[in-house]
Amino acid sequence: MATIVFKCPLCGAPFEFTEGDHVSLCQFCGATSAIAGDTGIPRLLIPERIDLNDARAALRKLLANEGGSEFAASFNFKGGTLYFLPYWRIHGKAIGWQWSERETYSEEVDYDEKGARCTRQVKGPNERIFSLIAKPLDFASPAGDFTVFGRVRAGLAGSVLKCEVMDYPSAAARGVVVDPLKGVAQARQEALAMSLESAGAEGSIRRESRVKISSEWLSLLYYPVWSLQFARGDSMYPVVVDAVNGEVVKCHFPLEKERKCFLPLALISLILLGWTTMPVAGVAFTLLAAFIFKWQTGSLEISDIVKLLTGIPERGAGVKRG
Amino acid sequence: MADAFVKIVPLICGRCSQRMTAQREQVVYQCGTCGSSWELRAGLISARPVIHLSGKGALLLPFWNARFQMTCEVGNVVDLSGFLPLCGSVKQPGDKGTQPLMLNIPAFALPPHQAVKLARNMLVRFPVFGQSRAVDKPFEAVTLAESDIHTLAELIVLSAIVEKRRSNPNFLTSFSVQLYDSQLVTIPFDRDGNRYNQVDLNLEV
Ligand SMILES: [Zn+2]
Ligand SMILES: [Zn+2]
Repeated sequence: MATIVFKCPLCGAPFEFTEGDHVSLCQFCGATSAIAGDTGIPRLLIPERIDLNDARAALRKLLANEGGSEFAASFNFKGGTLYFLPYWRIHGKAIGWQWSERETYSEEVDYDEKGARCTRQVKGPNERIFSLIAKPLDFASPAGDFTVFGRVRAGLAGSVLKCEVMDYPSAAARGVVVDPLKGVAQARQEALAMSLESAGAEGSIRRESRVKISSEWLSLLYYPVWSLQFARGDSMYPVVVDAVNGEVVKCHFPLEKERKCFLPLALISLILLGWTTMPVAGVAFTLLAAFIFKWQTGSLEISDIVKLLTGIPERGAGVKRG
Repeated sequence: MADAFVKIVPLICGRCSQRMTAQREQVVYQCGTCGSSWELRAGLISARPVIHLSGKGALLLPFWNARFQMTCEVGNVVDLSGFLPLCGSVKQPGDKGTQPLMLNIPAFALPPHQAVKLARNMLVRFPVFGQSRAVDKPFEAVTLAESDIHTLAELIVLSAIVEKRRSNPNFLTSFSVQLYDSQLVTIPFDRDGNRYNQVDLNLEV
């Protein structure tokens, strides 16, 4: 459960609300305050703990540790942007019912003509079960597709770290506040689907249910990540660093890069020459080019052909995350 | 960013301006000084009328009391004479047959299974309470918000209709409950260790 730090409306001291609670007590002035649940969706934020320099240093350290200092020095830092990624958090109870019907079988002992004992399966009446569902709900889900940012563990972090109410102008001045793409209706559906998954209706031939969220505590939690750009030659290498714990979440720095300009040029020329001479030669030269390609690279995958033609063949795993 | 703000409201009695205290999960706040009751509506402290029903017992337990109708595959059910046969009850409603259907949903902290059971027992006993003349008496903390009573109401009504809910999925999928005129009431109970009991209704939780 997340802890949210507010300002006491009476004395201004920071005071904490636990996710799911309606009321909290100011430790400083002793006043009890309530959080208004019907004035909109609270936007909360986990503040960034590391700045751009720290993020850059975290990446440099990773490169030096895994690729050596010379390798690390071959990449130039080009800049970085702080992003606040939105996550839905839903806290409450999933309440409703589930009905399921399943087939039942029993084993019956029988004897054949020779008097040998055997058992056979006999279908019994279908079993119908109505059950009440009442489960605590603690759900977190990205409010959009953030796979480009790698596997940020923000949903989990919200349960451990202290959040504050988002001051939009201040956050927007520090970074890019990403708009939620996934609506709250979809997030609620996902949360309810999860609560039904564990409701035990395996093997049923029919299933009906109606589950709703009760005592809902809904919030949009923003989590900070640094998106950095590094370059080597004219290639750019994007990096994502968790702006709370400094972990490099996503990057890919290949060990070395070599360009084979001759092979793609020769193959293209060969094909062009064939097709401009006559169709039969075109077909023959294309097949020849394919053969040479396979012989040289050991592959005929479209992605490998594209890589070769665009000059991005890279060797070695290098340093990779995410 | 219209929904960007969070409103924190100090609990100050709207009648006598004294500070009120409350437990973490509480949604209705009673002033310890003057006894009036309050809740948050649209971010403002607003009066919440509470009706105390009369009966035997020293402990006042809060309930959301509401009239209801139900819809299912056989049509609308609006009174006891329509509802009792669905429950498989042999009880005769007598002159109560045309009375509207009434739910009392526990508003105090009680696990959902127990809340459903208690309310179901009250529903099938169709109690009629008198109204106590007392006002602003202290009662147990209200933890169920009025906005959350509908889900529980459907479960309570369903739990009374034992046979149909088990055997007929079409009944279940067509089933719904409509609530009217909900109000916060208290019903007196006696406390016996961990149990609450209501002598007039022969109820125990
Ligand atoms: Zn204070
Ligand atoms: Zn007062």
